Amino acid sequence: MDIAEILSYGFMQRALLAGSLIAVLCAVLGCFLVLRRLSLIGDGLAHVTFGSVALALLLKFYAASALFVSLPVVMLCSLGILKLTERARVTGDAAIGIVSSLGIAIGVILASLGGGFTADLFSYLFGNILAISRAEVLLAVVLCATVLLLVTFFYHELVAITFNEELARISGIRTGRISSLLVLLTALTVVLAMKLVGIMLISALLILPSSAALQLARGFRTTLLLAALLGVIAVIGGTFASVMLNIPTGATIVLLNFMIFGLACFGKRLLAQE
Amino acid sequence: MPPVIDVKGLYCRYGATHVLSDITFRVEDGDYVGIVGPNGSGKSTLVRALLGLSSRDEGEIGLFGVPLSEFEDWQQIGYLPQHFNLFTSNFPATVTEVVRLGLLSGKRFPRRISRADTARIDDILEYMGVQDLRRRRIGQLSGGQQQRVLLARAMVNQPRLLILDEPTAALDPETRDRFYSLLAEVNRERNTTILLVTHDSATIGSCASKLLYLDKRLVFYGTFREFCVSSAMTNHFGELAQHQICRLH
Repeated sequence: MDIAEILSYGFMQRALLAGSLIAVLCAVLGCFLVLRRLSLIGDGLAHVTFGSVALALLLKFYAASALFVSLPVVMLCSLGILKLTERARVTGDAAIGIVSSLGIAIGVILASLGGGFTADLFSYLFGNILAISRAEVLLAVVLCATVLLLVTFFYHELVAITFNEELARISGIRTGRISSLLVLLTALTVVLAMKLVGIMLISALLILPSSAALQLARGFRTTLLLAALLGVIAVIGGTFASVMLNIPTGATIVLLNFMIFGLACFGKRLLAQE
Repeated sequence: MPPVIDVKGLYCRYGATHVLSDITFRVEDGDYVGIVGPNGSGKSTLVRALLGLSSRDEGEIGLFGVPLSEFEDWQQIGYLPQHFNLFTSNFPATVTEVVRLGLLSGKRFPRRISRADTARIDDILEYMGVQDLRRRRIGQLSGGQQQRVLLARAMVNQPRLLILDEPTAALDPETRDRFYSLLAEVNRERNTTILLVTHDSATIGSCASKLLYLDKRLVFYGTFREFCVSSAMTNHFGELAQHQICRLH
């Protein structure tokens, strides 16, 4: 199967477009999250999404309408993580762990109470990038545009709180609001993109491209752009490779992301020696 | 002209432990005040309370004649916190980007950086002698270079008050002396009021116009000369220690 033939399939075009858009916004958010030591928040919120989808299905909200339950629950939990770190003096990773384990425990209990909807529930957990519909591509476009617009609008504030939150406060920045914005955008991304690409890929796209870009880039804007580029390369390359080799797409994208990260670490060492 | 800092009857505590009790002092325009005292004496707590970063239990704090709770003119204040853990070592911002963050306090949303701002960044980098580092990542610089960049960040808005919390703790003696000279120059040439927290009572004595000695309460506040003849300090240090500190100058 050659590249032109692969590209001629509608499902491939949709997978590449939606996957690339999600890769861009995950990479951009990931840079802020990794530097703020909240990189596992994507994983944590994905577990909460599992619980919230179980709740939605139990309340008879099926398919897309599950989002009406899932979105507010996950957004509230993302703010909960933030409040735990601020008020209860719990570190970021511990706060994510607390909310994440609670989310998955509630999900498992609700799934057991609900009985017959486990297949629906697990489709949220693992997603399938090759099964993305036209409506879901549109959703990815709207999501990507919204998140990137907000990040552009609050760019200086986001960089300031990422550098040092106290210094940002003394600069008159309402740090609580900007931190809330960051975790809410992450929650929105996780809930909407998880159905498309699955829990494993969301986490990988938030952490790996940004971590690779942080090895190489000089300057914050350059880091964001490089992370987005590396994320897109991994999605496109991984999708093609998975179709050609007939292996799972999400896992292939994660592996390619990891290889890029490895190369970036190696490149950093080379640059340091020069 | 109202005092730059006006503190009256300040009490702070963490849980049940009193960290600061009954602190009252004023800092006037152009003063260079060294805040000294042993570990755990409340120096950093005082600075953080002045900036509204930690809560106070009792007392009043005024900045430029405005109560702290109503103070919004943050561009008048440059702050350099303790360097340890200030930012993650892989933070990708360049020196220029870090200094640019210092301009945000003078701007309202949406905060945009103009060409005039860029010129101000260039000027302050040159003044600090770090213009050649502008494209380097902040995490790649040595401790002394980072400290100069962070001071440039604190000063880029030309603040009237500069607050520094143990800025020389991680520096070697030579770099530390150069840093103190730079601060003295800023105080002299720009009439910037400086509040500097340090462990080093002897060195700061030669730079600062006033010393504030804390030990959970205000033990002494006055000039270095007054410090050397203060009976409060003699009682606190003992005559020999006081003599040894003052003999250096």
